[in-house]
Amino acid sequence: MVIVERLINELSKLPGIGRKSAMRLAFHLLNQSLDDLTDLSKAIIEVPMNIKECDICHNFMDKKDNVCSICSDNKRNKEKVVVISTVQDLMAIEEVGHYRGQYHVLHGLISPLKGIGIDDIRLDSLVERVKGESEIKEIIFALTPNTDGETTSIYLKNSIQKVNNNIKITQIAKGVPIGSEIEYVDKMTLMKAIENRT
Amino acid sequence: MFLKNIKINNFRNIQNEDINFSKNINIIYGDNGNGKTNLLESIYYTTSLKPIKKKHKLIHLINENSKASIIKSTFENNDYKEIIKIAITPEKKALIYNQNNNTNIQSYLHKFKSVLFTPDDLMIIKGEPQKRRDFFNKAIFHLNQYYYSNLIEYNKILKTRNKILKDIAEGDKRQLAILEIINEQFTDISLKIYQNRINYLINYIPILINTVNQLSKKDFLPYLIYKTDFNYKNRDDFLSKLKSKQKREILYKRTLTGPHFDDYKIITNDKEIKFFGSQGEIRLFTLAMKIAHIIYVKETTNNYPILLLDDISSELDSNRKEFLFNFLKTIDSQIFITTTAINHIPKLENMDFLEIKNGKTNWK
Ligand SMILES: Nc1ncnc2c1ncn2[C@@H]1O[C@H](COP(=O)(O)OP(=O)(O)OP(=O)(O)O)[C@@H](O)[C@H]1O
Ligand SMILES: [Mg+2]
Ligand SMILES: [Zn+2]
Repeated sequence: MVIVERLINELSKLPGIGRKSAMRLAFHLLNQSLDDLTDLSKAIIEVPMNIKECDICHNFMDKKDNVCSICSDNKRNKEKVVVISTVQDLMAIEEVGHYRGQYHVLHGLISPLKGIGIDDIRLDSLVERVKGESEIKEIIFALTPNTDGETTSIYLKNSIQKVNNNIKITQIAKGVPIGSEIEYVDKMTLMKAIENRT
Repeated sequence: MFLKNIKINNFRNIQNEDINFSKNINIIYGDNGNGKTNLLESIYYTTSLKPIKKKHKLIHLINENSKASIIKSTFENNDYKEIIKIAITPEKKALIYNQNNNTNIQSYLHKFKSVLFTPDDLMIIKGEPQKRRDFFNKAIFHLNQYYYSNLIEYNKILKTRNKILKDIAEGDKRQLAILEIINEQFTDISLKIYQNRINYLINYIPILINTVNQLSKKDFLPYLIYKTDFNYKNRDDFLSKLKSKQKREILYKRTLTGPHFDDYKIITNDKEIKFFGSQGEIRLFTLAMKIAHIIYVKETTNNYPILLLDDISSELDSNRKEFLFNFLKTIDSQIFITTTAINHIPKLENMDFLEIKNGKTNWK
């Protein structure tokens, strides 16, 4: 049973999975055919082997491509960039389908208490993107509206304005309830929030 | 709203009691160690979800021969009833309010309020500024539910700021840009807290002065000074003062100023009572501070706190006691008073007497 115990331990490390759910999952897996299990483990192991961050926007992408599918899509508006903290946030906005501009994924927020500083997230590359003769005309912050989100957007705003004074910087404001994580906000609200930015 | 009934199971030395209370003055009497404070604590716990003594753990609340404790209380508000059940096990406590076990604690605590007076409360005047801030923080929360969220946010920003000062002290100069941003957030939340405190004090101080004078035959001439480092009226002033301390703060690796250093100075007859007041005078003044708060809450909302007075009669002379009880009669709040002997207490109408012996109660 040591081996089953190990599986349960690994599963319970996943977000949202407590020990009870981990046990249920483990015993479910025990009843699957070897072929199914091989497919599943392949699918899992292939994620880190085949995926990297896009050099431009830091979205996840296929290792064999040059840039991600959003950055390489010429039909999309190149003047607007929505800044979000996670790829999940990006996917939530994409699912609505309404927004047709660019993104920049920070992979976190400045959070001094958690020891996350300026160098730990993708801030500098956004500042690089807007330097000089950039196509970008507008940056839209869609960060979680708590103090860390606020700190991050003010820091970015200051850094961007130092290198490019012609960029419009806006913030999604209305419609996103305070303290809610962007990912969980319902899609209509999110669409309205992007339309009504201040 | 008043506490109409309480059913106590295995709370401290009270094993199984079902008590109906009067909406006026309830006197709980009995010899030392029979459970007067415990009974008061069951009410206090219902209205604050905390034991009277900060250091006591859940296990201390449960009767030593039992595994869990249950307090079920019924509050009555005009015609409708509010039913609260609190279950305590050594690991956790559960609140079930009108059959709902998913109650927002902050709004619950804002609704069911009590003000407790115990002999230890002398420390509000004699002790460190933290004791006074605790008293006023709770008082302000009674009137403004959002004050509590402001304090939580303040503490988070304060912690963040201290961490950044430490990072900078340890050589991480890039954090200086973040400190600038946090300073703005720190200023805004400090101003909010200051505003909440001032709004409270403006109305509270006149009531306090009146209450002190009602309770003492001497004309006391009390007043209260709110002590703070800042001129909060001007945001720019606040920010520049904050910045002027930055070098020292980096040296000390923590924030050296802000609402968490505020104090309340209590003066009677031009002297700070902390240093000049007698034991009895200080006790009377602390009591006045609490009663004045109840009067203020009652004047502002129609949902006033229950007053819980533990052992008040022991140190007051008979004149003071007379004043106190005559005054209590007029404030029209539900009151619980414990005492070791009934003859320590002036008889009034609207007073009911509950005897407690070995954790068992009897109306007399
Ligand atoms: N968890 C517990 N289980 C059983 N008994 C307890 C528990 N906690 C406290 N007690 C007992 O309860 C008794 C009564 O305490 P309480 O403080 O209520 O007395 P009191 O009537 O207020 O006395 P005093 O007049 O001295 O203030 C104490 O003797 C104490 O040992
Ligand atoms: Mg006692
Ligand atoms: Zn990309």
